[in-house]
Amino acid sequence: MGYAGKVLFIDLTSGTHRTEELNRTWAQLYFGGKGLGVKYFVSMTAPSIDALSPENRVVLMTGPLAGTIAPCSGRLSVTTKSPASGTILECGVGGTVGPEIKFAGYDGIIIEGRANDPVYAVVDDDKVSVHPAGDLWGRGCHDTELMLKDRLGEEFRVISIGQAGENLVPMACLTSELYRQAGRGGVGAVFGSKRLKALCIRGRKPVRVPDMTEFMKVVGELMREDCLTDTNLWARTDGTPLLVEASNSAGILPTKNFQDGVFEGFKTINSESVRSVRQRKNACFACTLACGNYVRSGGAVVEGPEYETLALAGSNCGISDLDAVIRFNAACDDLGLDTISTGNVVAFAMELTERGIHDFGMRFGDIRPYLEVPGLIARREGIGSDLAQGVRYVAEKYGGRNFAMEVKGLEIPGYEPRGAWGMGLAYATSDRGACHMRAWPVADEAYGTLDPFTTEGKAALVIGGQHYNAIKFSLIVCDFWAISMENMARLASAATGRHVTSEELERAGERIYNTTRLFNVRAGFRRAADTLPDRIFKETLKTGRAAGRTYPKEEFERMLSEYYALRGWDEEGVPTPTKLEELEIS
Amino acid sequence: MAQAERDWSISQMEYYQHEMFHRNAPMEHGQSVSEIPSCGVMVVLHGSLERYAPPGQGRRMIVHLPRGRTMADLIDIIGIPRQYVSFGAVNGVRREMNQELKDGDEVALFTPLSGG
Repeated sequence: MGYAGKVLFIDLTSGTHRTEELNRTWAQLYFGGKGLGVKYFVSMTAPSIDALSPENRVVLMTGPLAGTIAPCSGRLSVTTKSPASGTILECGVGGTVGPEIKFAGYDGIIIEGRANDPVYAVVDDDKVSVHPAGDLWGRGCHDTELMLKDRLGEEFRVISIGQAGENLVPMACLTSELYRQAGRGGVGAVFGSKRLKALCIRGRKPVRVPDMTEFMKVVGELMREDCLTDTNLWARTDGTPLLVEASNSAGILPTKNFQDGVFEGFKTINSESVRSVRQRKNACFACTLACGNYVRSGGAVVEGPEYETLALAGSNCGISDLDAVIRFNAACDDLGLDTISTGNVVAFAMELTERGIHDFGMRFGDIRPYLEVPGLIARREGIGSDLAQGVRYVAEKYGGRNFAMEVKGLEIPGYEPRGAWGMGLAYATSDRGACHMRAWPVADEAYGTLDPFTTEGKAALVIGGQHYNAIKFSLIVCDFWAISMENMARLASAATGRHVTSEELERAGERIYNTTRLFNVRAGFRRAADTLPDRIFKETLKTGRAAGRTYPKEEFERMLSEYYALRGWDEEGVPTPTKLEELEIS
Repeated sequence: MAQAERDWSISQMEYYQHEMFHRNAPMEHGQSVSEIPSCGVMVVLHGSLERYAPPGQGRRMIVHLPRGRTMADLIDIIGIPRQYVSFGAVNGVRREMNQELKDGDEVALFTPLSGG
């Protein structure tokens, strides 16, 4: 119960499809979403493959709550191997596409192989077909989605790539419902390598839970007592732009390629400014928080800009003009580009130019070239052909390695590690490179009551966060509901019909994190890759709460060793056989 | 953590402030309120904290309090349960709860945050 019971495989090489019964043993151990998607992926895929080869797969996986009335359950998990980092890549996308897959009768869809010519796939309940997409190839995500809806019907949900994905740009994302992205690590390029322009889904089947009365009772209670409270309602009143002012106050707002943690122009890109151009709030399926801000400004319409965009494409590029950030955001959405990585590579190019290392023709705060870059990157034209390869590549080609702000090839999101030392460990040990979605210790460090400038206790804090998020994204509850482990267990029990405890969820979180680590170890990653850019260890911030402080590398290394020891991994970060056996990982 | 909807009226807010004012700085006989040394701070209630402001107030308001009061005192005066304030900033910089407030300060209060 809670599951549809079937997984759909679409083979683009042969243009065929098949369904398999859901592996119930895996579903018990990994629940759904991230966990189950990762389990399916690693069971079928060799870690050594080229991410852009036909041997790579894309696993779209729902959770046991998808399609029910449980709040904040509308997201979809996407797993593949990342062309940006070479690690496993799991990312999520909101909207309605996840529940729609469940309505069509599947827990997950697995895409394999490579088509000879561009195609789009249609899943209409049990009818699955693959069609030529020659007329869509070369178009942006907006055109693609609207044309497919015109062709197939308004009720189809579309997940597509733009020009960036077609051109195999390693920071290309998937876009769904015009404004929602599976953003990080280049899953759009994997779609592009398979010549899959879009996936369209319509479902009309019911989703069942074991005991409707009990389910409604649990959901109602949790909605009142745990969801719609002051702990979470910031998502409704403001959404993520609230973090601009919070981060600026705490001195961790990335500014001018992480040269500072405070941005003098923050007031024009903060939540109050975003609210002033907001048309309405938008929500994913079954969501009561509605974090999305639908805005129209500067001649552009966008659902956003989210905090990460305001930080990486705003303050980090020295841009304080909200209209410009919104236009940048809209361009990236349509081209199918991750705004975090794109903002980072623009900021890096600006610093290289200012330091005279290489002239990319743009300095911090220059709006005109800043707005031209996304198109150049997506089409790999001019300076875009270099910038499209990401910060690590540009640093290797032109220099500036010390201030190339990436981990494992994935650019750093919007929280300055020198003002939250635990966050540095979270970036270094994330399973997909620098990522803020695996653990978020800044909540306690920068915005909470823990001392941000110590490594004491941070290893355990990060591990706890990684397990919590791993299981949360497997049941698929959105990040923005700060639900307790106990209440997640109540939801999981109500959806699956078996008694699930919070200890079982904690253990599943650990199992999932070790499964992704094992894949990365087998792909060649060891301790040396679990680190941060030199700038973090060698330079100090100029202003704000963390001003003048260094983040000593030896402290970081000590914390990393503690982290491995607590995890039962060896000094190189390899999970020990005992640990793997304990967690039932093969 | 069930939350009853707060139904502030301006008079309630004023009454509460008045009470706090007197508790913290008892008046001498014959002294008027205006003679007690006080300071006015601009408070910005971020996120859902907005609902702790008097209705129609929006998220910005000026609060008068006796001199020498801290950010923690201010939160009590407004009446926000302490667990719903993760941190506060004075004039754009995060400060501790025992930070003493001065006339003309801008105080921003934030709820707990998750995700990103």
